[in-house]
Amino acid sequence: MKRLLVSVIILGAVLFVCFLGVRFATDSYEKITEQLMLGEKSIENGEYAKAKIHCEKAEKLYTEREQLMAAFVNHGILDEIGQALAGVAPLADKDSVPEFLSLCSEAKVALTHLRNDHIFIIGNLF
Amino acid sequence: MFITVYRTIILYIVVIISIRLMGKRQIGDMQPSELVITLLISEIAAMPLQDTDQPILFGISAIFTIVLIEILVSIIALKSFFVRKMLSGKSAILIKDGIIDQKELKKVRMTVLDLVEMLRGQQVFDINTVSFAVLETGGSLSVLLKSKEQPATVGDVKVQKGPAELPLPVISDGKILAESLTALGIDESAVTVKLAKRGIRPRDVFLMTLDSAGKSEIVKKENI
Repeated sequence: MKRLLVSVIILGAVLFVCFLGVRFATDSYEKITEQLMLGEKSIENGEYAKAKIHCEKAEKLYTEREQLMAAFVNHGILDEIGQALAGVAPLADKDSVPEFLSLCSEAKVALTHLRNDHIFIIGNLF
Repeated sequence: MFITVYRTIILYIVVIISIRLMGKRQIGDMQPSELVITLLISEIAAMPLQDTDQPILFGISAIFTIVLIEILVSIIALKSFFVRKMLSGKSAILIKDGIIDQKELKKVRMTVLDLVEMLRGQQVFDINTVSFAVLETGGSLSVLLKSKEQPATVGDVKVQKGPAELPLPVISDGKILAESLTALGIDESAVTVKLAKRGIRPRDVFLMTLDSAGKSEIVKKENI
């Protein structure tokens, strides 16, 4: 019974840390995606400077949170997001709207992996 | 590069803790389920080491989940014969009164040569001398010889002998082992006095054993 108690405590602590990690990753997904969507909206309205600010905010958010997320998320997924986000802001001008929107979608898809990686679904189970 | 070293240290500690939590067992004494769990743990521990893209927490959480399941299942198995039988199987009587049960041998997928080899491992060279040979769930063979083949015991020959004493190591490589002294209910001076009578200093002793009757064995250090 002592062993059971010790293992329950250790596993409980590990799962609690994992739970916090999942919440952090999901929160990051929501915040970064929100900025990207605002960027998309701004560029569609012709507000290029505003779009750039939103994209830079998204990239900054990601950079700030990447290290902590790396403890809970497959590093391959984070690399994918980082690459996509890095290319978005420089494209926020009049001449690169289609490329900007395409890269934004790419980044959003990568971010969806970040969220879906932790969801309890059949696909993840198997 | 260094990350791999740090990860290895962390996982080493985790694996040691998890194996200790599951309890001490030699590989040969393991039940099938325990062997599977041990192999699984080593495999899971290797994954974050080989692939540094994977967070180490993936491995740690998996290892402790397995440990918890193993402890829970072993507790249930202690209380339920059915679960125990499902997990570990049951022992099989392979020889009864010197006769090999061929049907049972086939059931456990053993050849007669395997059986003879295992008997030899138990110092049994003649099947006719065996009263019972049981293949245990852990894979070992327990042998009971026929009464007339069993070695005579002190009880059989009616010799008067005092109670058996357990000799404990009290000095190892020049160091006095306080734990053994406590178990014997003596203090350090009792050992040093015993050694002084023979003109030996504790630091010159390689091994000294002592039992509760006061009988000691001393091996002096060699000048290597």
